[in-house]
Amino acid sequence: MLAATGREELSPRAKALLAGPSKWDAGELPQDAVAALTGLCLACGRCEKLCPQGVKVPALMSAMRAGHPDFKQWLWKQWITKLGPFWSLAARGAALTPEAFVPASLSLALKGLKGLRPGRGLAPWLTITKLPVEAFAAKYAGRGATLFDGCVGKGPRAAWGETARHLLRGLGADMIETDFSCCGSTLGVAGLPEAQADVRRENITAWRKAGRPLVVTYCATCRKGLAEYAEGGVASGLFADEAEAAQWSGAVTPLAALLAGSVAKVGRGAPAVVGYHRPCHADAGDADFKLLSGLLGARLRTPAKGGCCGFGGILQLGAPELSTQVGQGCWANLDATLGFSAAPEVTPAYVLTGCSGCVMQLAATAPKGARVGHWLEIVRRN
Amino acid sequence: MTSTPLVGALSPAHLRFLEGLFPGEQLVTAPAEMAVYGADSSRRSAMPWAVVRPRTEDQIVELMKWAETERVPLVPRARGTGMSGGAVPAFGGVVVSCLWLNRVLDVDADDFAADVEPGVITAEFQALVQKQKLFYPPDPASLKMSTLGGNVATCAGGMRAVKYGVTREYVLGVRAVLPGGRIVNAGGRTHKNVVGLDLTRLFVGSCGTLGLFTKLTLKLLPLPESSATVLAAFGSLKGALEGARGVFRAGILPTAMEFMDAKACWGISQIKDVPWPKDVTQAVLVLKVDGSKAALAAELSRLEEALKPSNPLCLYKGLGAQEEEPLWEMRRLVSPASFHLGPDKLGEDVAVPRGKTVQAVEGFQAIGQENGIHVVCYGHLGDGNTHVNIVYDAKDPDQVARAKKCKEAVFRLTLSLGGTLSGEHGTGITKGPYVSWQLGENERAVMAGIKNVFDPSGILNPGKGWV
Repeated sequence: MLAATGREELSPRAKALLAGPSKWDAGELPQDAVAALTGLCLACGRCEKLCPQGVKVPALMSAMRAGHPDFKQWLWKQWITKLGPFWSLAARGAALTPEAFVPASLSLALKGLKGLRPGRGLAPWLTITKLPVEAFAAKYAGRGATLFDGCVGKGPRAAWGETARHLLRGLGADMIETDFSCCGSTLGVAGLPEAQADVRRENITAWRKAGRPLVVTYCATCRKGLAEYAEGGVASGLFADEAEAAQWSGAVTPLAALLAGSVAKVGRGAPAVVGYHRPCHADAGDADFKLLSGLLGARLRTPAKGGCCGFGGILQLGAPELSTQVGQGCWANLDATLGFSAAPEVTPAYVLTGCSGCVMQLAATAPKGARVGHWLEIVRRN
Repeated sequence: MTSTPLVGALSPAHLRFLEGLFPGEQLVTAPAEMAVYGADSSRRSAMPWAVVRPRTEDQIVELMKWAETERVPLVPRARGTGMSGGAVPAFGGVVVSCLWLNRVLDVDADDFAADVEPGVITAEFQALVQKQKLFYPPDPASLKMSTLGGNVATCAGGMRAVKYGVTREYVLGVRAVLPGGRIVNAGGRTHKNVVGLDLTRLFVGSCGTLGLFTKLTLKLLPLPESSATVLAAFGSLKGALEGARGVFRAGILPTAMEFMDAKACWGISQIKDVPWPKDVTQAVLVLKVDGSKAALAAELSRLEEALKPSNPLCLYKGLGAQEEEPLWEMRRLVSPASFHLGPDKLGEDVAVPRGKTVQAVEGFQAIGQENGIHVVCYGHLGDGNTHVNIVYDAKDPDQVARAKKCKEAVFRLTLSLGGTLSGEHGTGITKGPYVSWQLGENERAVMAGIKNVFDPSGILNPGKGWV
């Protein structure tokens, strides 16, 4: 956010300074103002990776938000926990809602949903001709696998899950269907620790019932959110013991990592240049990028200075203008690499990513004519 | 002649003026929003009176005219990554953020020069010029966050200094606004220039006490094709230093020559699997060379040969960025690793003549032992600049007192060896009280006279520099 705005008060340091032990007199900093300012966090986690002391600013912000409940948190909770299964419908509704009738604070979130409505996905053009069946069998033979779809994959983009299941079956995975809830990541960020704890419990119960299989994800934020269960999971009673927590950690796996080594054929309709947006919550090795660069070769380009897309969960409701500003910075970086703005009619932007939040945000902030989607959308199921 | 003292706070009329000159978000007055503008990486902080974010040079001219007339102190600021409190408004004032002056105005591959505004992020600038096969060498540890303006104001160093020098070597010209609104164009676009006094060098490292930069002209070099790295561990500090001497004697000038002492190596081993034998390693050297791909393989062999007589415990080589990365990761982990020894630290950056490095580091380690405080030494061996981290717990008053005693003993030893209190961090407020230990009365009087020529009312970053 600092990079996009040049406003230091939006920097991780400002948040750590305000949320940490006070260096100022109690009366000098109004607590409501502090809470409002520190709430403007995208929870991208980039600062954690750079901080020499490992200060987790998003966790500090989550605690601050929890201490200052307000309407936006309530709304976000409803959005995630109650509306999740109906996002498909909501997306259709959003497309029918005239801009003039949408409150400013909801406009960005609704734009993101519009981008997800059925029929707006990318047309597939990539045929995977060889899957790493032997490597998968060598590592996971005899172990069941279940797919964690997440809120978007369960709702408006059910096609992602269908393709992911198709690929897993192709690998020879022993598929188990599990009734998972939201990963809880965005609820925690929004300062809703109890709601987050509830969905985590539901998910671990479902995982146990399924026989503790491999939990395969295709959304970077879901993967991060699920991986975080292990931190303090024993103390909170989520796991029976350290061994179970470790088993969970080992079970959560990005789909792209299982597909490493696949071979594919590019079919008709493939764009000459494909952009890749690296999600802030990508796993350490960014398995999605590795897979795509192996499959698409020089066709795939990603900006060295990728930048956050600006999704930020609750920030969509709290400060959509900031979220948009960060998103525009992200598109500018993509443009510097892809060069789509030079002739948008000839080579419109075409961007893939591996995170449902990023897909929503990029769709909401995309320049005219741009196509955005999850990489699963380009994979043919035949 | 008596000068009017600086004001102690902003009046309503002052605020009205600032509101007029800096509309909308260009003026910040809410304490919660201003707080971060009062802090930097020294962990010192003070609340600014107001923060302004100019977008044009004209605004800066008007601001400087007003501040001079009204005797309002101004504290220039970029990303606040300085380690010595140079950007902290410890003596009050309006903070001037240059982050909205962040355009790269021109990059010329024929002139090997670039014009930039001060708020450009250093790493982004480096990436930009690399596209034209050009190279801007200064690489302070903060380069992904810090700005070119901040680097110039502090004469930032970095690991490549041993071969390429520090920021001052790459500043060809400075355009700055002085108190009262005068504009000075120092230097120019040529790589050589001996007309008049070297005002450019005066601005570099002046810590925002002489003027506000609006444009910097920077020197660029051809981009080296590739690089290679060697990491070697030694059973003694002397062995490591002997190894470094061997490299120079072999006629090799490395791009970087870093060392880490036993405590630093131990700290890293607590957070990462290390490639060196843990029990016997007393020091580690990491060396980088750059040049053409064809020559680097041979250069690596020469480095290995040069280090051999010092009997390294182990030696690892990496050719090209991918192979080098795991070796340099060890060096980057020193700072986080030092927090495994304690929650707080005094980060000093003394420098001694190259030949005195062993004596200095052994002395710093002894000072730590005498005072019962962890002292971690690492840094830029190639130029004698050692980072001395004095690790302690700020909640324990006894440890605070012992840490301060260590710091002062480190300074005394450094000066006795002909060294300097700061190789690259600057004096700011954390080292301000010790400047008179190094600089004599005459030198400080000359510097005060120069400051008076640029800033007769003393409105720019008061209390910093040579107090």
